[in-house]
Amino acid sequence: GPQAGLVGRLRAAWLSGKTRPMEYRVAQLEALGRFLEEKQQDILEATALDMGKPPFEVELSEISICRSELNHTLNNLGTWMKDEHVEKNWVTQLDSAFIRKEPYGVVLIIGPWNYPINLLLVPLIGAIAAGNCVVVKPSEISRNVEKLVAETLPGYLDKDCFAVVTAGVEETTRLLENKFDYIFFTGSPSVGRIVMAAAAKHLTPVTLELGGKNPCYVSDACDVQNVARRVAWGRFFNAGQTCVAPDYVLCSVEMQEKLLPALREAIAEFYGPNPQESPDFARIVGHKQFQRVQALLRSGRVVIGGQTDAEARYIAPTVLVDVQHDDPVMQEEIFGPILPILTVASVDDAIAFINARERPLALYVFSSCKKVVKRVLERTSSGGFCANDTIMHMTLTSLPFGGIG
Amino acid sequence: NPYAGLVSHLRAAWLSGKTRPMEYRVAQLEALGRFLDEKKQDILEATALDMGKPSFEACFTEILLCKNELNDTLNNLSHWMKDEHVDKNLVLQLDSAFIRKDPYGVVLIIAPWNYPIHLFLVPLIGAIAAGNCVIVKPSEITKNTERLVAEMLTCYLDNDCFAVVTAGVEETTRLLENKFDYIFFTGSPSVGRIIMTAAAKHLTPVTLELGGKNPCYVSDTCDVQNVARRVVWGRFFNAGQTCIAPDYVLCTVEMQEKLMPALREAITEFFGSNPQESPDFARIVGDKQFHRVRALLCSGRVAIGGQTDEKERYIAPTVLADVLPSDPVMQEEIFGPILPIVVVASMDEAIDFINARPRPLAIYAFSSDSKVVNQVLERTSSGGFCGNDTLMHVTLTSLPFGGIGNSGLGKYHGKFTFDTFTHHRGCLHRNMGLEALNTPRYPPYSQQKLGLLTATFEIKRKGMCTLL
Repeated sequence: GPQAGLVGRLRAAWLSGKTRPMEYRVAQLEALGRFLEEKQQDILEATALDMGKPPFEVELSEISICRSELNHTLNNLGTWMKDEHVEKNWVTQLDSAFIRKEPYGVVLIIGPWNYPINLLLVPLIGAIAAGNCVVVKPSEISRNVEKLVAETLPGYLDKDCFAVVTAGVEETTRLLENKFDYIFFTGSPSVGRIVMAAAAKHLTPVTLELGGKNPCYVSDACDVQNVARRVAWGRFFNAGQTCVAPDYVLCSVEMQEKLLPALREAIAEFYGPNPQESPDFARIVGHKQFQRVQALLRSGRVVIGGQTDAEARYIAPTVLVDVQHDDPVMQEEIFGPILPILTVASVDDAIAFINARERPLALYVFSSCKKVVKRVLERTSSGGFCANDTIMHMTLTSLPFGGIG
Repeated sequence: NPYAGLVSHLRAAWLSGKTRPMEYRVAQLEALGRFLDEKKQDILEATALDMGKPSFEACFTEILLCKNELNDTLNNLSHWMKDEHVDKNLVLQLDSAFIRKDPYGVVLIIAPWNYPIHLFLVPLIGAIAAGNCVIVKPSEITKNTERLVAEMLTCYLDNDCFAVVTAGVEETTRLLENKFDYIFFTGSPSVGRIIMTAAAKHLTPVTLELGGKNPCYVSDTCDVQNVARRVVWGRFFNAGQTCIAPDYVLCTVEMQEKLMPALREAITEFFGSNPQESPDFARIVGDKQFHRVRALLCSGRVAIGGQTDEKERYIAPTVLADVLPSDPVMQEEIFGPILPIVVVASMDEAIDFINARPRPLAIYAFSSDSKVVNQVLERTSSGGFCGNDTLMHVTLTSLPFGGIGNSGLGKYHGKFTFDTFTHHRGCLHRNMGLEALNTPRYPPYSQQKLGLLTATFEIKRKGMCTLL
């Protein structure tokens, strides 16, 4: 394939042992830090062009978060790299038994378009820290960031061991024909299947960060205004294009009645009376995605928002009610600024509803009652879980982030 | 699909929450312990019939090692199951952040024929300990053991949550069409690819314990007699049908000359002058495998052994000399009682030889000079590594056991088995109030808010720290 030479070159570099010394890895990681600093303005501009990302959101979710991961890694790399000595049995008492931390070799990281810097760089930080050579493939959909990464990132890293490949669907399929020693993919479940099947040919281990419909159960015992703010924040950040965004709300009819005015107030508080004029609300990344999300509006009844502007790829922060489980908006991950509310009679009904569906990346419960939180946590399965907030569990570097099923 | 009913039955049982309480899991695990105790004689007989496994070997690998894993798990289960509380940042100080250990759900374990009890039981222990429902598919090649497991294991376990399926290649393909929440496979790399491809359709995570040719480098500085015994033990245990057996030796011409008589002596010490008469030497599991291994004898020169008896599926403990990298015996995993010696000029040449080939499940290096052992360790890549012995690294439950590249993905033994079958769920439980802590993140955005957030959120680099 067209990239076989590149992969061969990186493999030779890895076999040379170049990436093994800690000093080398630290130097590469510090260079990544300089990339984040020196290209900060370019990153703000590229993400603004690609999907109208507000600079505040970029600073927080693309730059600061990467810097945290970088510093966390640099602070701990010495410890993480060390041999781990383990307990021995009677027979091996006089021997040395330890776990050696070794790189896999040549790693491929495929990034998505919604947090195009974060979701490329955070895996890259770990791959470099672990001593691997890496091929990075940024998303072709966030075109301005793709260009920025392809043109400037290689300048910061050792070209013998790290490369950026730009590729659409066809070329990515060809890229995947090569043997990699690890593949890290963030994207949709359907493409995840394709990546894993390609990896299977070479017995390549994979990490697949996919998506789903993240349910958000709001119990009757809660502070409605706080809930509304936290849910609206999670749903409308990046115009809803977040894999861990609350996808839909489950609550009782009574709670829905309280939640709606609270949501209306939170949205107005955040974005003003006309969110299209707010500098703090993003846009949909592309025309195709805009049309897909817009079509989901034909579900239930629009009670807040619903306005769209195709030219600007703007969809207003929207709340839908009277949504049925077989409505379009409930058939796929929304990945846009639409929050459907479905009513359930009880927490057990909510749990049954959740368990009848695919296991989501995140699960949210809002309740002042610990027992309710505990019940939902224990009786469901999800990648991650957060009670009384949305998204925040992702911000702790000490918690594992990933999906299931 | 013939198995769809069974899979959904188990999935319903899992969704009911039956396997979650620790008491339930302990009861199932203790029942497994009783299976090992009460069916010990049956296990010895079945494995003797299937491949002439000496009862000593069966006691060690099929019973003792399994009981170790069982006891290690029972001793530690409550600790392993606990929520792990994690470091919090400034913003989340008043919250609860922890890793919840959740089961995956319905797990499929596919086992091979060479250690037919051990290689399904040890994963099963971890899968049960982690709270999963499990389907076990023992190998159809070891027919007596397969029958024993199918007929007897289910009497010990809760049939709502655990099942044994007997299946050949066709039926296993149909079984794999079902959606499992985890698949644990031990077998060959080629079948491993098929399993992973089937798993990909359902995005099912897998552990693949595969194989390869495990190199055994013997340096010039060593105690030749000890080396010979340890290598002979590892190679001829179970008549060589061991995924981590030393597959071939790399050494200098001088070392080969010293090693050969030492190997001859060790083999005689272990199996007598006619190993076919020894009660302590196994047989090849089936005719197909016997023919495959026997064909490998046409490589190099038979220096020790070489005798075969087709009726008994006996192949003598054999050492081949003058073996070339292009010989048949160097083209595939031997999985039989043949030890080829390939001559190299130096340790560097041995390392290059190893690195030019697929990454093996195990690498062995024998040297009294720890620098040599360290060099081989540092400059190669393998599932596991053992200096100055063979096989022993997998008997420690505290070491992860698994392959890399062609030899597999994933790891288990001890807590690693529990972790394999556990979904580590990141959980955060925040306060319903204290909204003031959250206001900096809400729009309308401002530089002030951003400054506050980065100051409180962002992890800072600790003082330009000491490098190793």
